[in-house]
Amino acid sequence: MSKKIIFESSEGESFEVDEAVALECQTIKNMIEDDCTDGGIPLANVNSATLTKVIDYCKKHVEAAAAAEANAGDKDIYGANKDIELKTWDEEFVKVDQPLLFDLMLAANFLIIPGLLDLTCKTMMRGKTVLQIREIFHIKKDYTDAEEAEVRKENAWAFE
Amino acid sequence: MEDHPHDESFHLQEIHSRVKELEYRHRNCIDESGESIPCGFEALAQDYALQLESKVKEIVEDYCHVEESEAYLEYLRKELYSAEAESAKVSQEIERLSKAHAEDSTRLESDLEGLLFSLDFLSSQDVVKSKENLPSSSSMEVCDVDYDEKFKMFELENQIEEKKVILKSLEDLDSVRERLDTTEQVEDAFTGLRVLKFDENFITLQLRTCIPKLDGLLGQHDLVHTTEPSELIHELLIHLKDKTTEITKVEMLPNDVYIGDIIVAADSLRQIRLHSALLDTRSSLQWLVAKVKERIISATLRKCMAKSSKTIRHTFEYYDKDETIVAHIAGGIDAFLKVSDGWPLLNSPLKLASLKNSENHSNGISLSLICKVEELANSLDLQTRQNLSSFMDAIEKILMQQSREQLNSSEPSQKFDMKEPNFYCPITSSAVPLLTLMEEPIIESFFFSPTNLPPEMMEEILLRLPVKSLKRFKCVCTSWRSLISETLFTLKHALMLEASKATTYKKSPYGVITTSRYHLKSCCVHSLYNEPMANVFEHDGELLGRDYYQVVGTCNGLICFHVDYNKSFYLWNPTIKVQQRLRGSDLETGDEVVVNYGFGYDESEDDYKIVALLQQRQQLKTEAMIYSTRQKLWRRRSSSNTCFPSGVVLANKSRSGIYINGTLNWAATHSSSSVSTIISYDMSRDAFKELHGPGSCKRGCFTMTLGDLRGCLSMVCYCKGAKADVWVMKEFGERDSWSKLLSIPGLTEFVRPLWISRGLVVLLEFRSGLALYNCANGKFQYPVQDSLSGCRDAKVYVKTLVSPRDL
Repeated sequence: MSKKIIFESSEGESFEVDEAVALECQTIKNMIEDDCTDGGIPLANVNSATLTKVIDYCKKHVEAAAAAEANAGDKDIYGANKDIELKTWDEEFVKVDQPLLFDLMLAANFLIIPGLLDLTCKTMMRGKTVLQIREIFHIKKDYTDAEEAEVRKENAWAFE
Repeated sequence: MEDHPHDESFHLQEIHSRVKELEYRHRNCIDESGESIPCGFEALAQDYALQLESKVKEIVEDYCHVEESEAYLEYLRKELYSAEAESAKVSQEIERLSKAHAEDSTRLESDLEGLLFSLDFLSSQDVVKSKENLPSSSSMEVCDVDYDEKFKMFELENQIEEKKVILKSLEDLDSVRERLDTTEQVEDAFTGLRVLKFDENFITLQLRTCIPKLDGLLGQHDLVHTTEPSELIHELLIHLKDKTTEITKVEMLPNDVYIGDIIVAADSLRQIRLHSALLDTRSSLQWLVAKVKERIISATLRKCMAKSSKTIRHTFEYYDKDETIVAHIAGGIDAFLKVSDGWPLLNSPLKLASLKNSENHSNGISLSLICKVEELANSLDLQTRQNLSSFMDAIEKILMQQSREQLNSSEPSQKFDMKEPNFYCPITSSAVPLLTLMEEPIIESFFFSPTNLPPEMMEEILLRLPVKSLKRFKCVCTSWRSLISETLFTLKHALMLEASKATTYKKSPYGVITTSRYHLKSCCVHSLYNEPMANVFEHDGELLGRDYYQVVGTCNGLICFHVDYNKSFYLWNPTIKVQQRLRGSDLETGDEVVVNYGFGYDESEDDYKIVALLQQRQQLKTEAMIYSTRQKLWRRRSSSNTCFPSGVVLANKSRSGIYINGTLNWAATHSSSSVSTIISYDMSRDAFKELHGPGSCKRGCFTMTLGDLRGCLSMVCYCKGAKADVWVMKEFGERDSWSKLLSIPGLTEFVRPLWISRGLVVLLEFRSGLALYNCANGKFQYPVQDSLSGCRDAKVYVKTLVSPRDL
């Protein structure tokens, strides 16, 4: 039986996961290596809803990696990849509302899960217009109309 | 003590002179004795002899008359004997004396020597002593003591004065402190703020906040009486930057109210002040405390309101971080109410920000419905919107009406019969109207603003975006524009792309650049694979018009090309559409020289370089010239480093070197044995070396083509006219890492793999253009695009922000 790691969300809820799943998070990996995970790991800035999703993501990716290893004896970057299914899963995974996506991104940044960070960042920004970005990040336009037009002109091809 | 050495030296001098005298005398004595003693001895002997003679004469005279010769002779003999005996006695005595004299004189001599030695020693000591004692001669000493005492007195007086000043200031301070204490007490009573601890780097404040009673508030009625405390006590631990009032961290105990944004705001406020040269940093702290207090009051009141407004159908939760109240409506809908500043103390209205199904329902609410409900709800009268429960009742009513309307309007179209009703909302306990909300993709509601997003997080996000998005987002605000334009950001972005090569999602950051006749064309790798009609861009217009473009190489998203044979070189980034002519890059070569180029990045010197290999026709010697974009000049390679191996001829097929891992690589053959080889030039070490090809491919294959296949050196061998084998060197420089990737049957002429997808579809370059080859079923799709037919020198580049103008 594999070792279990216990996470504690900001609400104080406990989540038990396999060590292999926890190792997906670089931050936790470091903690495990330093042997300071006894009695659970409190994650004061990750709430239960986010933590559930994060654990789902890690589980899925650990399983996928194990499956890939089992199928392809000789691992090759050019080898046939069964990860199209995983990619689809990822795309479904991030179909969540904006607040949760933000929380996921912050959690991925905090726990250092490169794949999830990449996925959430890109999902958040994908296909957004300048106006939408201002709205999402509450950024005040500090260009004058003339200045903005100038910057737009400089990068006109990017708006095509 | 003082006189003693003098005394002693006096004695010494005396002794010294006496000893000298003695010595002198002794010497004289020796001299005298040397001469006088033998003299005296002779004189003595003569005296005796004279005496004897005279005595003999006397006796002869006495006894002449007497003719008793015999008796006389007898008498003479006796007399002679006694005289002889006496003389022997005398000579013995002399001998004894002279012996004693010699002994004495040697003893005297040694004693004298000893005395002299000790005298010398004493006098030398005396000199040292007298030297030591010289400064502290008695009269001087007295003067010194006087002066010292005066100085000490003066010092003491000074100290007393200083102490007096300190005492006075302490007294002043004490009175100030007393006054401050009283003012603090007064202040504390008024403001509820008390400093618990003050250290160099942190302040602990106690913040007492009075919570106003809810009963008297306007617009809020039917409130259940709650047992909220009328006073809350928080402790604020404020960390300061060393000896300044710059706030680095603020902690609050108990941490029940979100203050993160206030801290950020306080910091930016401070920075603004700094920039506007107002040094009043103290007020940023004051401002912070005031804001925190305000926040505690509002958060506590809002939480209290949320709690007390609870009804059978609605429960409320207040999220102070987002200043939002989430109202859970029985039946599974959550309404997000944005709280405006000052609510509930001021008469400001609430605002409906969004509606959504709670988590156990997977489907979203239709966008049109939300928009309609929001519009209607937010246009209600102020009175309704000020009160939580009345506003929720109104929202629920609108929601019910609107969903009914939508249901009715869409029923005739039979659209909803196909779908399962997914949302039941028991609005009232008795009459339960069926609400079916349209199934639409989840819309992203932007109300949940991440105002607390740390700035480094923003950079993390931007680093992950493709170049085109970054260019577009330069328009968002000035700070984004300057961040995206930063060199460091560009570098980080390029590195991030490099790292994410293996895990690229959907749109790949790669393009293909190729030339055909007088055009330079580019296309996205992704669209070549996935779109039936990929967009192919012609760049002649933006570059130099129709010309004979020759691509030398690509590196870090930069494309190096030249237009007129052997004339000027250009660097161009097609992603950001910036080009730059390289000054001093013209390279004149004679007709008898064959030139092969290569373009790459020298990490050790942070320099992009062009390498030209000049090979004399009919000769087996190759010379290398290097152009540095930093120095803007061509130079010959120094002969001290490993040269281009002699007897090796570059293959005609590989006109330009393949840049991999900081090296440029060309296919070549040994002219004597016609064995194929790879010549590799290390950019950082400035050295050539031969790389081994795959072991099994030697004699059988006659030509090879090198390429870059997703960061690996690739090689195509045309084996016995039957097939083309594609090999890759998985780990650059590792001979054993060559592995055969695929084998394309029936191909005997030039082909170069450019890209391979995860689905094992290979993008190949032929003499006549580009084609896709599916390894799984062995089928070709050829040509890929009409507009790409007849293209050659195709190269894959990565889309980066690296600008040729910044080099």
